[in-house]
This record gives sequence, C-alpha cells and structure tokens, in this order.
Amino acid sequence: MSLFVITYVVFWLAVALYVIRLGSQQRRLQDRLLALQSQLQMPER
Amino acid sequence: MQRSDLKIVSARWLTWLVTGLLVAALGMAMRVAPMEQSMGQVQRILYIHVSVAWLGLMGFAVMGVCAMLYLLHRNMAWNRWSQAANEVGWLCSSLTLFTGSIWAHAAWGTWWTWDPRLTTSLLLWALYSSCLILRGSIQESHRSARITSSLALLGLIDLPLVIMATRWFRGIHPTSPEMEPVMHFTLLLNVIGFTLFFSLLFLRRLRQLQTDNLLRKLELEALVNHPYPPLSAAGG
Repeated sequence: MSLFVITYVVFWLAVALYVIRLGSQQRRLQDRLLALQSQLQMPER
Repeated sequence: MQRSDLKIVSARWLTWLVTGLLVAALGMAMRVAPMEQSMGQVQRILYIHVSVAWLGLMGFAVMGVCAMLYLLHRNMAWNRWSQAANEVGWLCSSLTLFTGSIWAHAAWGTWWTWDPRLTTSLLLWALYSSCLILRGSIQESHRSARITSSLALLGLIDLPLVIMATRWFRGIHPTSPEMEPVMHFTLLLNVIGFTLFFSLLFLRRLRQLQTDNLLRKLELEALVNHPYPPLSAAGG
C-alpha cells in the first residue's frame, strides 16, 4: 500500500477517534440530564 | 415551521453539505488532481497537510483571542470558547506534524529536520498540549482559566513566526510551490471542506461545554433543594 494511502487512513482514523470521543461525552451529558430529571421529580412520587 | 425545527433542518443540511464537500475534496485529491512528477503519489498528502496546518493556526488565533477576552472580563463563557478551540486546534496541529513528517520523508529523505517552519510548528503544538494539560490538571476553574489564558496569550507570539518562517528565515520548507490550476482548485476545495468540518466539531464541543456548565449549576441547585438522591442513583 502506498505511503499516501496509509497517511490518509491514519488521518481519518484520528479524526474518527475524536468524533467518537465527542459522541461518548454527549451520551454522558444526556445520562446526567436524565439523572437530574429523576432527582427533581422524586418528591412528587 | 418553528424556530427549533428550522435549526434542526439547517443543521442537517449543513452536515450533508460538509459531507458532500469532503467526499468531493477526497475524490479530487486522490483521483482527479494530476500526479506531481518528482514526488509521485505522496505529493497528494499536501491537500490535507495545508488544510489542517491552516486550521491549526486559526484554532490558536481563536484560542488566543478568547483567552484575552477572558482575562479582560473574567467571564468563564470565553474560557469555554478557548477550551473548544484548544481541543480541535490540538488535533489539527498534531495532524499537521504527522502529515508533514510523511511528506518530508518523501521530499527530503528525513522524517524531521530543524527547519524554522517545522520548529515553530512544533512549538505551536507544544503550546496547545501545555494548555490542554493545564486545563485537565488544575481543579479550581478560574485559576485554571487564568493560567491557560496567560499561556495562550503568550503563545500568540508564535503565530506570525509560523506564518512568516519561510520568508524571514532561511530553511528548506517550500513557500508557495507552483501548481496546475486543477491542483489549486483541489487544494481550495480541501481547505473549504475541512474548515467547515472542523468548525462543526468546534461548535459541537462548545455546545457540550456550555451544557456541562448548565448541568453543574442545576445539579448543585438540586442538591441544595432536594438533598436526598433517588434510590437508583444511590445504588440501592
């Protein structure tokens, strides 16, 4: 495989890793939001 | 159509536009642009190298300006802008060094040389990395923001050095190599495509930092008003 193809693959892998990291941070934020919602709703139950 | 619906539709359109641009840029770089005679296929790295190099510089400029605004107003909102630019800019700066090193090996026969452009670019990466490490290692938010903002502001001195390194100092890094019009167009398409793509990543990260800040406030408020967490959260 030529060097430039390897470079392109590694380049996009690095970008994909950052996008995956953003996705996992987004999920963590959503989990915190759900936990907060359930905590706020608790006294009404 | 409501304002929130309009936002979702426009965000979706923008995502598709950026994806289309990147696919076209990739196709142009790998297939349509003619092969350079002396370097061969490896020269095609130039299209992504120049794009991320420009974004690394722009990221640091955004980080530096936001750092200055934080130091002037002591408003943490500017620190969040600075942090988002720090993360995305660090990625671009790292990719610049990586792609540049491969290009250098093919062009000059060495992975690294202490050329002025390369050295100042490495310094830029070191400044980005230092700011990232400092942000993660100092707990107190205003102290962390103050120290990283000062470093980012100081680091702005390196920007003109990176840009003008090929003109001010003698080195081997090319200034503006001659290219065919198709190659110029391919480079332009790549620069526009990657600028839009990394801007989207920057905005997404900024939104996350803003949400995180809001959640922290609400969590603290909930802790004061509702001191007993639900059974599931307490592990029961």
